[in-house]
Amino acid sequence: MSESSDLIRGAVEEFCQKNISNRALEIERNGIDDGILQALGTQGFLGALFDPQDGGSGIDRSSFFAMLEVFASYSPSVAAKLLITNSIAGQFLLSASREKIQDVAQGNLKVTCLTGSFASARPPAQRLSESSGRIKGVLKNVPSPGSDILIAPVSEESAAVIFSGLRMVEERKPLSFRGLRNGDVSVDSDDFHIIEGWKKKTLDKILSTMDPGVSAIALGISRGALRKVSEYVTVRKTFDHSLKDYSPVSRKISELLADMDIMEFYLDNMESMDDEKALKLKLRSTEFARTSTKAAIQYHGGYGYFEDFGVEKFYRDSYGLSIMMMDREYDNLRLSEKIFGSRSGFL
Amino acid sequence: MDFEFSEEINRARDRAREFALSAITPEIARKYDLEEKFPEEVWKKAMASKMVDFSNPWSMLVTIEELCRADPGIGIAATVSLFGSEVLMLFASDQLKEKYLKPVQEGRAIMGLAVTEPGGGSDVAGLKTEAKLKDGKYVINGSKMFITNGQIADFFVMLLRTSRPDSKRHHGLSVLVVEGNLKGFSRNKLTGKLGVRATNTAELILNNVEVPASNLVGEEGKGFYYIMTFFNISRAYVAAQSIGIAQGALDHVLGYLKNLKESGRESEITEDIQFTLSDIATRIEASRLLTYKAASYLFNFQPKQEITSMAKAYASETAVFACEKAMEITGDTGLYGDLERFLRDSKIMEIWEGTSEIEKLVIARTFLKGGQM
Ligand SMILES: Cc1cc2nc3c(=O)[nH]c(=O)nc-3n(C[C@H](O)[C@H](O)[C@H](O)COP(=O)(O)OP(=O)(O)OC[C@H]3O[C@@H](n4cnc5c(N)ncnc54)[C@H](O)[C@@H]3O)c2cc1C
Repeated sequence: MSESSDLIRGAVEEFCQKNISNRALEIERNGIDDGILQALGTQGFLGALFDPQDGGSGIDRSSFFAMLEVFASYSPSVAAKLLITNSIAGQFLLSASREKIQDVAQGNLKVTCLTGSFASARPPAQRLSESSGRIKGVLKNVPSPGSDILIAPVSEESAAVIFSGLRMVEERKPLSFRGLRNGDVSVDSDDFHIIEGWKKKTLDKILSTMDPGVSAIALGISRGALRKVSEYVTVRKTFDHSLKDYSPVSRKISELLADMDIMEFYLDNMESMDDEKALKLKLRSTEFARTSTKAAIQYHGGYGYFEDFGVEKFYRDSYGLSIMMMDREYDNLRLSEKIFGSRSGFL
Repeated sequence: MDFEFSEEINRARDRAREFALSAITPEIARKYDLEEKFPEEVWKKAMASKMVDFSNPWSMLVTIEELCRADPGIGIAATVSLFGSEVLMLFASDQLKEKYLKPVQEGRAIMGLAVTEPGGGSDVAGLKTEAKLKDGKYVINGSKMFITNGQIADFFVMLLRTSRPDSKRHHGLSVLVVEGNLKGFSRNKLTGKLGVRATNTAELILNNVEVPASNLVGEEGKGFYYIMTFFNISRAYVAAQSIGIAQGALDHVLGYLKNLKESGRESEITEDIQFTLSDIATRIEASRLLTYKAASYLFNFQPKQEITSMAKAYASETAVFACEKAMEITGDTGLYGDLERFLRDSKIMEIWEGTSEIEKLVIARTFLKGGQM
């Protein structure tokens, strides 16, 4: 691990202990409030990867992934917000409006997008329509639907960064990333910037942050769940023994922690790894997040089933992570192609 | 060996399916899940339809399957007002049956079963809530945790410590019927559940609650045996809930794949997806066979504890497996549709009425004691 990512882990831990830990449940119930967003902005986390001249912190990518992992271990929703802002939103805002980046980095302007549509080359499942200088339509299941800026596909190849005319029409309680909220957004705007052929220009750049970023969140989710369950099985007694003394319990948790450490080692050395390794880690770590969070609920018994204990959210978010923030089918195809050198695994 | 059900059981299944399709719509399921509220109307309708009849266990088994297939939370809520009634059926005096069992069977009352305590659910013999006999009354002190129907039940079948254990920890436990409105009895609704949010769950606090000695079920000191007998029955019903959930998840997958086909995207149904679909379907069928085998022993009064535990553990893990795989296949459609609720609901199957770990211990111990299959 680089010295800087070590430093950032410490700083983020401290920030989370002070600002997130005791509000994690509130974030799940009511969303990330403006106070937290501004604190994230002031500390430079919201614009972590942005250039300092755009109001960002300009930290290196290893530090960014380390940072995401720590945030996710407290609140996966906060980590998801940081990843969306620094990857997809950052890339699009660079071409659309450099002044607005500063406000986004400070937490004064909120930006969102349909993450799944920008994490693969497949045709977007939803799009807005553009004609005579206006963009119109309704997008369903948008994370952070109350945002000021929306990035959305307008055709198979082009996307729009929309600065006004956004209205949330219905809010829903989603399975995952409840801290981001979720809802449908109605758009009627003449204030936007179109980016033609975005896939050619930015998809690779987006994926180079999204792939390890998703892995970082997956590992953070697992770390958070495993931390909680390791503590719990030490203090909880059944049949007059600590839960940790039962062989299936201690073996399972130890094995999960071993896998966790191996994957974390990969993550910490991401800078020296190629795209293929990043993709492999993403596919493995997201699956691992589901396994480890399920075990964490199980060993909490009935308590694991209630939000107060703070483990069930990790299980829920592990699902959203591999559906909202990536396209698993597309990623499997990408990996097959990298491994076999030609398109494979599609039948 | 005949793998077909009788006409009567098939009719019960059809009737439950019909009821589920009309009374447990996705809108209703979403509403009660969101509001975390007991669906009183659906429960009343289910009771009025006479399909909730635990004295007809085979019909009940397939009814539970079909209701949970439509929606696990509502399906369970519609049938859970009699939770624990077998304890009364099998062990209570005629007076207690008349006073307490009859109203719940007729849909005029709701009951609950209170065993788990804050300090532990798996270790039943380790419970601490005490009932001391004084002047012809039991005086109860302690608390119970995670009790289904806890806030809405008229009474509870409660396992309590009535005397100190001797060399065996499970000695000295007894079952009492405890009404919910007694002085010193308070209940706190527990909210923020991951799933089965249409069921009501509460913590019960008992502070010098007085219960007539005549509310003792069966004999004093035999409570552990009564409750274990009950669990052996109820675990078959949890297996049925789990099969229903897994079948419901499979229904979602099939609906999704049909849509792909109809919209000209058949090529997206890769072999990978087909193999996963096969795995789900095979595990559901295996769960059914195991559960029906366990039920067959049980309902012929020759229970085989290890088979019931196998059925409960396997079917509950199948419910979770089916929902997880269904989510993977359906992606956004599942995440933002009704399937995500099934995923949340399914996880409780591996926890309540004996966690998967406890079921595995029951199975292993039977074999270690020289049990035969
Ligand atoms: C929504 C809900 C409704 C419920 N309804 C009722 C109800 O109506 N009535 C009622 O009495 N209870 C009810 N329960 C309680 C439920 O039955 C218990 O939660 C369950 O039995 C587990 O007990 P526990 O939560 O105390 O976990 P614990 O017993 O503390 O167990 C914690 C974990 O340790 C594992 N474990 C324990 N011992 C061992 C061992 N020896 N070896 C390996 N692993 C072990 C368990 O499998 C579990 O994974 C309900 C629970 C929930 C969540």
